[in-house]
Amino acid sequence: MFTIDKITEKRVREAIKRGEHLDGRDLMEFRPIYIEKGFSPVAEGSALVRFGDVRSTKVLAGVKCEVEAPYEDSPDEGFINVMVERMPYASPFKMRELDDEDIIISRVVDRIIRSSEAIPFEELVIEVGKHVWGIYVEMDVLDDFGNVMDAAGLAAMAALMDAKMPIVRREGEEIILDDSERVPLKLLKRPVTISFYRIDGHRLVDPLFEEEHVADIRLTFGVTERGEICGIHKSGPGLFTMKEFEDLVDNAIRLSNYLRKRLERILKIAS
Amino acid sequence: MVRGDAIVNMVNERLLKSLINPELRKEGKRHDGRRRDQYRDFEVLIGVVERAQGSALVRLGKTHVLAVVHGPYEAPRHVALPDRAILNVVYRTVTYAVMKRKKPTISKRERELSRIIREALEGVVFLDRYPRSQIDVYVYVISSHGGSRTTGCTAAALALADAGIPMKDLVIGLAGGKVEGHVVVDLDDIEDKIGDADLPLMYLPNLKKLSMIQADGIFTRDELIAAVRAVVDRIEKGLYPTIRETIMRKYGSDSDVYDR
Repeated sequence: MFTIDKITEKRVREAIKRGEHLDGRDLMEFRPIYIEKGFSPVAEGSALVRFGDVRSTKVLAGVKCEVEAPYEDSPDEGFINVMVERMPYASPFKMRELDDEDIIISRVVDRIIRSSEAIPFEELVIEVGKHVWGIYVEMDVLDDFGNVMDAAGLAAMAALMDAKMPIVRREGEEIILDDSERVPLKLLKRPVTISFYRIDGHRLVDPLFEEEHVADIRLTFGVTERGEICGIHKSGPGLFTMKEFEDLVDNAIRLSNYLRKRLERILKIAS
Repeated sequence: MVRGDAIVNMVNERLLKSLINPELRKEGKRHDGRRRDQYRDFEVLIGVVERAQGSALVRLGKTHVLAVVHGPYEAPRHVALPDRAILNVVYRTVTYAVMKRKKPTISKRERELSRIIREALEGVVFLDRYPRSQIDVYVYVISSHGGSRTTGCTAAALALADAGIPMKDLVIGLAGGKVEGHVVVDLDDIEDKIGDADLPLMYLPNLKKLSMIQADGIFTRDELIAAVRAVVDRIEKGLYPTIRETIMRKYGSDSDVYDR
């Protein structure tokens, strides 16, 4: 993780000690969450997720569905590919085009969607061994004001829920994608991503950028609507006890319902 | 393993032609019901990216472009110029912005358009106010449906204005062209594919000068002049007033700041 200047760090620690975020929220409270679907009308599905009213974390997600050759070890299944990239100006630290943190976020979101079995891959086959659907979920972080992980998890799901796939027709050997009619992408589950952070022994959710970089630990859970855990990832050098872990699992399940409600209540914009 | 690309024919020409409604054609209208001199729905949002010095999101129909300005900041020594700032423009199309997913590597087209937009802006920004500096302009096409270079240029100029960087004028882009033998304004993706010619322009509405022109296709002399005039007319009477109103709404009074 990165380092933040000492004065800001002190401010963060003082606020956490008082039991609140720098912006005055309770430690276990999220910023207001806004989801706008159809932000990129040419994509099969898209969504812009914002955490916060001002200085908000913004993640734009787009879904493309492509006819591809299947992977050799799973000729009878479609596949998904998740990629997150913070734009070069999105974070004060970032200089390179793609850094480790982007890769980690991509991998975690990918794993949570994949292992929740939200997408029925066996139904995304056009011809076994030859043509399957590849679902590409790609995300651009426009502004990183903290907790890109959860925003990206939510953006990926919102874009998938918005996705409408073209219909496949065969004309002899040729495959025609008919764009005039579209069907929604079938989703069996709606996993959400929840990250817990820890500063001086206090746990919190949805940190601001400064808080995120003071935290010594980040524990991310993927939770389905049935309360199943479908993925875990730990970042940062901190250590934790079994009791702490069990407590976080319970909190993850409880808070996942809040995030999922946000997913259902989506604003429709653009054409 | 060979990927399935070659045999998949997503938008073939036959399908496109069948989209054009003969009823509309009889009335002199285009496939989406627009008049020949009518541009698509136009919307401008300023200051959408809070980390950036300046930013703008421009929507023209289904073409949406986000531009972000970072700087001016001290340029690395090996590139710095003693008398002016470097304008660095990066034009990118996000992978999901196009019909067929774009590969994430930088394409030749993106390199060309980065340069086209930079050159359209270089003569307008007062770069000599910032010696040894650099100004980065990132132009991200987040939804591409025809006219992304011109919309990108408009967004870039607006982001520079939002960043408070002094400019001689705004730069507003709009394309003209020829579809089925008629001069039209603002071709969308479908007209781009079935049309005969395409003419992107970037124009300074106050100085009444062109800062960039490209053409692709065949025009007669009269058609070319008519197309340029039609586009300039739409910029002056349509796009510019909308943009001006948006800027004024954000940055205050409608009076000319130089009068005070």
